[in-house]
Amino acid sequence: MAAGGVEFSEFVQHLFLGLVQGSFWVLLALGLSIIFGLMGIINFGHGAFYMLGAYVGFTVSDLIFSPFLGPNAGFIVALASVPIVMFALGMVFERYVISRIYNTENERFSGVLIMFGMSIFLPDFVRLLWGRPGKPFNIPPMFQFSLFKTGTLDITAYRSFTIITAAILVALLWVLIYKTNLGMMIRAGTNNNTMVKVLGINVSRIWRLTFGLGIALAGFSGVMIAPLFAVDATMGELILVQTFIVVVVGGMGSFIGPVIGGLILGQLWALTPLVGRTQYVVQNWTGTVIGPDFWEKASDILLFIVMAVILLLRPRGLFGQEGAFD
Amino acid sequence: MDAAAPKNRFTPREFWAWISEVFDNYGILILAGLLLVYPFFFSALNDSIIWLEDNDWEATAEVVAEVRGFVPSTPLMIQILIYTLFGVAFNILLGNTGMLSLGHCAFFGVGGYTVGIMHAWIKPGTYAPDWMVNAFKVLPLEISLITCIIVSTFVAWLIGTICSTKRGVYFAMVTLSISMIFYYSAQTFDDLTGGTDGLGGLENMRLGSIGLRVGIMDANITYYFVYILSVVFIAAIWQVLRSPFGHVLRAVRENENRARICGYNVAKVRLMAFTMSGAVSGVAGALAIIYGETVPIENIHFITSGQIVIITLFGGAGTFLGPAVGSFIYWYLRQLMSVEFVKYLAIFQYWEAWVGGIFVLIVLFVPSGILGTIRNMTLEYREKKLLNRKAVAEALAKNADDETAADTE
Repeated sequence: MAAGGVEFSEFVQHLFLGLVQGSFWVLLALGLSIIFGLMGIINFGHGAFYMLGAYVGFTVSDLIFSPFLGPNAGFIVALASVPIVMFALGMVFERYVISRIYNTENERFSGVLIMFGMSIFLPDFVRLLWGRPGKPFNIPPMFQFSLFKTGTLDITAYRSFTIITAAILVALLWVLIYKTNLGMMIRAGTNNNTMVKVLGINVSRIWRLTFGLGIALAGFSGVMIAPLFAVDATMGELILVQTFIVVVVGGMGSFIGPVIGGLILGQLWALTPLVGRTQYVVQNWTGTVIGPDFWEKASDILLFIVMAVILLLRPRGLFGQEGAFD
Repeated sequence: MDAAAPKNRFTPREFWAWISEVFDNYGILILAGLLLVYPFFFSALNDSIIWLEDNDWEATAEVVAEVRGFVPSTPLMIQILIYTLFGVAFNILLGNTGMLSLGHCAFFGVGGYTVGIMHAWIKPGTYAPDWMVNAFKVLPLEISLITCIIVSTFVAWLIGTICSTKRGVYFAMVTLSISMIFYYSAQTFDDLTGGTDGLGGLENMRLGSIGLRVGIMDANITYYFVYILSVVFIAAIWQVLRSPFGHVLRAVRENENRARICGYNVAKVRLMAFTMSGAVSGVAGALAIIYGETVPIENIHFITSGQIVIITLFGGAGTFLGPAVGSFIYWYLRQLMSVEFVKYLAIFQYWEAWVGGIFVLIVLFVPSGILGTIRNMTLEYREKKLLNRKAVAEALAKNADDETAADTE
């Protein structure tokens, strides 16, 4: 693909951007996957909580701490405090809203519908609290430099930082799920909830912790991505759907699925715009050449096509457990 | 014992049970009759204000005008009718087959865009060939509606093939994701669809065969056009749900494995239900753009799916007329909020927050909806009454036995 009109440095730049986008998808998809695995609820409010995390981060850093401590420290405080706030919020939400539907008729549908309602409620609620226009969120000054720069290739410090942070978080999550007692209980609960209950483990506490963990991951991703884009009430919509696609492609019920799925789709998403600049000429049915503008916009749609193909050929996803959804 | 077997047939509970029964059996006719005369009622209200003003009854006219603010207008009733049709179509899946689709905005939007694109682009000087332009001049709305049905059936079948084998919440997730293809396509191909501004400039909104101009010019004519189409499609769905096929749908909802063992091809049944529901949703989407003569991109956004889920759940997912009740309450409240309440409290302009919040509360506290709750109460009441009668009969029988036993002794 690097042949023709595309320089190698541009190709590497797109790989890098794909890695950044992919790492965010991985974080969100893991949160979604953990909540689903344990509670059987697909969190349709994941994007909304991600957006809420960005707004909370904006408030903490720009409105409260930056005036006193400077933008760098303000941002770090935001990075540290948003997961805690969102974790608490998620636990409270689980305790007072979601736990009401356990053991009712159509438990899973109700959970999905509640989270779907939240995804409609939260953006407008945020507009009510913070105003309709989006908020600017600058890259903190300590990250405003490039690690490596030649021609069109620009490896910026902040983007690298997000990749590294995401990698560390994924590793920590892996340790949490596969190497600790809590993780063992989460895995056991995913497999057979009743049996865990019978063994005398407080399942409702684990559910609450897990839900809080997923929400905290979403909020943290939100505040990390905020300096790259503006903070906006609708920022959670597209990424929610993209996370779903990652989960469908990667497969639920495994840890590696969302990770690999997110990374592959991130690369696909970032490399599609390059197709327009290669030597190959693509024409549509009227004979007009499809130009670079189209390929710039086609990357969002390509993800859906990949999802449809995966659903038809391998319904459980690349690494999914068979029967995870029955 | 006498208290347990009431002599007075018309206790209040009995009355409500009777109302519910009448509504179950004849509700569709009653609603259709009321809706048939609605535009007359609303224009009479308008005329009365003018008449009062002409005859120097200004104070009364003001009061009536104030009241009119709280009466749903004919354009609002068009919206309510369209969403009733959409909700009834959606309820084929949610209420009868037990499939929660969050992707119905795709069909609604595709129906709307099919009609919209045809009316905006089939004219001289575009890519459209001459024969198409000429045919479209003769029978514009007939051609576009039939095309819309074909296109939305095809799209529904296509999406159904991909995702109708999925179950439960996974089905919801996949349908939502797939429906968003259409949203981003509409955004991407903005030359054709108008992008985020929506598609405007629709021409030729008329029924060529009877020479009727529908659309933004006359709310009453549009109302009756929408009314007739909605009634036809709702009656068709009513018939389908009463047919053996409808019973198979409910069998699949109740116990899929059992339906399969009984010899039904469950995958095919689900696909058929999905296609049917999607096709009628497409018609509803086409009707939704006829009055405004623009296609807003919000029609294809997943908020629309949210609306229809709310409408169906609010009215009662298992009941046939639930969507009608839900649609009326939803649009009426939304209109009141954005026009009347917002005068007093600015907080009402954030209607999505209200919708989402109320939605969560409904799911938590009234999961079977308004009509569903009434029906459950009625059933409970009847069951109790039956049990009472049974108990009385048993007690009497026992008494009689005791007496005969005493006699024989």
